[in-house]
Amino acid sequence: MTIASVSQAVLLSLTIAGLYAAVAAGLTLTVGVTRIINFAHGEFVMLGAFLTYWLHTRYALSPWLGMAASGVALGLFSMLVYRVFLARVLKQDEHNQLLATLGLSILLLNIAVILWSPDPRVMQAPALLPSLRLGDVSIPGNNFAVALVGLTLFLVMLWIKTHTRYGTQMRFASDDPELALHAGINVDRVFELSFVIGGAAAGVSGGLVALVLYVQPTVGVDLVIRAFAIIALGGLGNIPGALVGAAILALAEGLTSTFVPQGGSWGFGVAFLLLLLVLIVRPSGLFGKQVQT
Amino acid sequence: MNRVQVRIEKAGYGDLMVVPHLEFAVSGGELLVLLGPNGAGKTTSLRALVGTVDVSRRTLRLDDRDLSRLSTWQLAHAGVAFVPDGARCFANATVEENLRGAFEALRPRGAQGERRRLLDTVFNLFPILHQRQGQLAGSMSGGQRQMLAIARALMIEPKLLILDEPSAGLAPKLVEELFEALGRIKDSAGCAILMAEQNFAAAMGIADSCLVLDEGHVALAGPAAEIRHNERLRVAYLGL
Repeated sequence: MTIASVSQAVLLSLTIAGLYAAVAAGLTLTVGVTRIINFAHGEFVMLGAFLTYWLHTRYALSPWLGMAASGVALGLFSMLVYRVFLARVLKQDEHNQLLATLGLSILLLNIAVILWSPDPRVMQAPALLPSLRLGDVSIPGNNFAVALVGLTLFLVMLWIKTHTRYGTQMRFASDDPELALHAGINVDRVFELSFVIGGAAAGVSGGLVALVLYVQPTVGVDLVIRAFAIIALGGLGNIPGALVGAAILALAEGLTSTFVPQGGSWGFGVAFLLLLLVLIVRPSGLFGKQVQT
Repeated sequence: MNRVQVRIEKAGYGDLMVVPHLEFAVSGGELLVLLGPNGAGKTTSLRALVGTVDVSRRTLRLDDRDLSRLSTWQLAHAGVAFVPDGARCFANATVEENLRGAFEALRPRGAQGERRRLLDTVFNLFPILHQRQGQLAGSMSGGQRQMLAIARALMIEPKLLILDEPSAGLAPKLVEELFEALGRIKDSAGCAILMAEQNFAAAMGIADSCLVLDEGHVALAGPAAEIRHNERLRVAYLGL
């Protein structure tokens, strides 16, 4: 274990943290505002990955544009899902919401398997950015791009929530939906908007997945579990907290799989052991407020 | 003029009907207080009016406009501001964000001057809010949150201001301060005010007319001056 190998592992983990952060950023916006636990977020990511992959392999579209197209496509798809499906379920009991999004997740996953087979695919894209060399350490260009886009997506979510008037309305609607109605806010539309923005973020994250992971129908499953873990670590609805959560999770996973013999299969487990420990000590997450009821 | 006419039929919660029928009118610059003990149907009536409880028929007219079909959030855009009970604010936002957000929910971009003017008005009414602009609403005392709740409602320049038990849970000194402010709003803002209260003495100090509810029915209605001096009615319906 040399300094170079450790720094290499740390930097690579941090780029993966960028991907996790991107997936979690959209989810935390949606969950934080609407309180819908959207299990299908992972499948939205998967659809974005497939779209970016095909746009590249069939139409030779640059993954940069593929990402943007996936963002738009999944934003529109989220609007459809919200209008015909979730808006109705939102008025129901919370358990029904959970089952509804879980059902949607399984449905989308299986449709993908039927239509496109479960085979993993690799997008043969030229590196989007030159690789980053720091002394003996080198970060492949696509990893660098993932980290960069992930972080940007994160900052955009944060900016929407804190610096736009829709952001204020989102915060009001999540704080006290009924009072928000009395303040003249069309809460239903604000919920829809936050769901659509979350979906668009999932689409862009899918583009990142296509750059560094296998494109396959099940790719969203592990990612959405990680995203929920990251949100729990950072505290519900706390966007900066989720960024730290993503870094912690990716580092725990990356370092375990690099330095523990046969650690490849341990990484996921160690990361979640860490999550359990944090939640035992601080049930509201590292940066979450203690909930008062 | 801000003349408000209200009629409510069968308001309640699912199968539980609390208020069978209620009708009243209130004009700009006038304060109508709904009195009555707990469970008399005051809150239910107000919530039926703003559309957050079940009601089989609601008629709401503001001058020549028929607002009967508007939903809760649309009513705010039509100039009806509701301050629910419990000094509710957007707890995770600052005082300034609560006020600015309420203004921006209704107004187009760039109405800076108007926002400034309304902010000055509410800060003038409640100077403590000016000092606490940057504080999170959830971390303030009950009295300060109630002031913020009312200030938030005033940021939309309402034509009808509806308050549900604004004095509940406040110390007598604060109640006095709050009602003094309400009196000033009544005189200067030109809006009609409808208020549910249990604090008879404080409410009668500023009310122009009053309506006493008893188990969902109107037990007594009339100008405040009459009811204030009607010993028999006070004892019978208000236990005073």
